[in-house]
Amino acid sequence: MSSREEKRLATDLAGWLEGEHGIGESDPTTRAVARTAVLLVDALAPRPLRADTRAHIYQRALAEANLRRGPQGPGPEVLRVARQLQLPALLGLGGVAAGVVVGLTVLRQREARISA
Amino acid sequence: MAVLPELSSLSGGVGPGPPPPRRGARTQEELEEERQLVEAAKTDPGAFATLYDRYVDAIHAYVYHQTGSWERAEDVTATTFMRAYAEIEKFEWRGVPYSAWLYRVASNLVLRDHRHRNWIELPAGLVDPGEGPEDAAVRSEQVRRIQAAVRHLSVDQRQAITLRFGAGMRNAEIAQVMRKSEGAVKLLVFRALRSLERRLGPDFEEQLKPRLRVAAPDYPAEET
Repeated sequence: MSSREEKRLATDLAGWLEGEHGIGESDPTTRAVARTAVLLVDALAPRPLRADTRAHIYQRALAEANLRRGPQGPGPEVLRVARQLQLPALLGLGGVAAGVVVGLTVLRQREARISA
Repeated sequence: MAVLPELSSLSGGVGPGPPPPRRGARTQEELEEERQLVEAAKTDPGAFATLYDRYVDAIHAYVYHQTGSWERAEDVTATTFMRAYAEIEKFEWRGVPYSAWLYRVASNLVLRDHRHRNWIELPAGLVDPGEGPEDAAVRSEQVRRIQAAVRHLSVDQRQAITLRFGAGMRNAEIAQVMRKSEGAVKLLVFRALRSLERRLGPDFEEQLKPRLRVAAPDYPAEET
């Protein structure tokens, strides 16, 4: 079968499967393929799981999701603590940090001048 | 078995038969109901449980047909819903059923498994001695034979026809899940069906006839 013919038959079959038209009566290949398609609907249909299997999968999914959330590191915890701090305290901490940075910069500049 | 009368109408060239029933085809109202359910699930675990109930059988069946292992199907299904639960807050509704996202996650997990976990593709006859009782109890020999034939298909073909016939998706939806063009999906489905038809052989339909006579009494007449 040529590639062109294959594409034509595949499109014909797809159109039938999507309910756009009937299957070609004169084309034995398409009819045979369509017959197989009908068989597959039955063979591949999902079957209801037993209640205990269903519950077991659900519990595993939730347990794994909670485990995954657990070791996310200190990030969320740090944010939670930060939210509990008062704004002035945060501003004060920020000011101290900025002062340390400025002081270190000045010291480095002095050392550079002395060594020069 | 609702499909059998349609099978009979296709067997003898007496006219175009209707297409097989498409599971999962949604009306706009159903889609809207699902959108609301997904939004509710972002803050309400009970709504998430409803989504789980709605799709767990389908996702499990899909993975089972991809892997041939009941145990792996349980693992992958649990992981799929674990991700769904963990990421539902970030989920953005795009007008397609929530199941499309679930199928994509399950597909990626199956493919990742295939690549990285010393996956051994078992011969169809040896697949899954540990199959669950619910599975074993309901499958007829013919169905089992079709499923065995499905396991001989390539990964892409198997994925395409399981989504098409097991999940009842349209080609456009399958294309989204598989990240392929609609044209590529059409070819995958067609080639998979031709391959199955050859593998099942002409005697398969003969074996099916007694069952067809019960479900579709006019079947032999249409054969001639």
